[in-house]
Amino acid sequence: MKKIFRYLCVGLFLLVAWPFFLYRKYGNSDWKPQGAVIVVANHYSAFDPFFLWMIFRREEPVFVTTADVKKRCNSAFVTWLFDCLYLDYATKNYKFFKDCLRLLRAGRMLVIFPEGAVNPRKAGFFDFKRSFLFLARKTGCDILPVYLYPELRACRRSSVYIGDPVTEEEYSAIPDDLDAVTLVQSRILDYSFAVPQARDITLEEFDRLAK
Amino acid sequence: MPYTVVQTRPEEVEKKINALAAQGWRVVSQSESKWEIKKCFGLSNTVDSVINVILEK
Repeated sequence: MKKIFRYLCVGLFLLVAWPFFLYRKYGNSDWKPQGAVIVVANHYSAFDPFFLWMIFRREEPVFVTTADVKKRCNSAFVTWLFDCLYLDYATKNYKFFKDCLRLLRAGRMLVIFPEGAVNPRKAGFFDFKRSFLFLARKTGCDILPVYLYPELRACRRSSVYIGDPVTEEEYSAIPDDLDAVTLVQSRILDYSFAVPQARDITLEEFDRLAK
Repeated sequence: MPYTVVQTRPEEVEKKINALAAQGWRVVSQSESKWEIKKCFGLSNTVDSVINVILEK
């Protein structure tokens, strides 16, 4: 019932806002998951999960969000509609990790934005947090790095680069967590140059953004 | 030349740079700044010190 309601809400939303949600896929655009997978993506806009949901809707992805979204009714409604898992920075999150492990062991797809915050500059990256690696090490699932560049302007196509999965063999070979997380982040950095928008940013602009 | 920026916490910057160097990234410059980090949907904002590392590959 909720699934029908979800599709109905998304359908109505897209009927009005479709010019803002056109996108083009790059990379492994035909990729299909083989069992459980953690999708790891950068976070340039609050609408990023929506693009990923449109791409992976057949796999029924479960999104991870912060518990802060419950404070406002519209974001609370959207996260309820998509059956998100809530990560609360103020607690130990035992239930959150238990739910994530249960879903991954059942072969589901989990979507995490490891920066933990929206980066509104649409350039560069915050530090990646390590919870996705903890979950991957516990379950042995693949990690799929994805780069998103949302245009959020009418009739301009956003870009989604679907990368090569980081397999258990690859991240298990790196004992240090920070090094393993940096491997995944470095892949997303690489993919950012494969889409047209991010390639055009010059060193001077980055210098200006960094100040 | 492709450039990008990674913001990292001051206490982890050395280790992060080494990890990125292992992936083929070279540091062009780095600077410290204060960032207002907006959590999901801008509901909670925190100001923190971060190191901006400009990288090239």
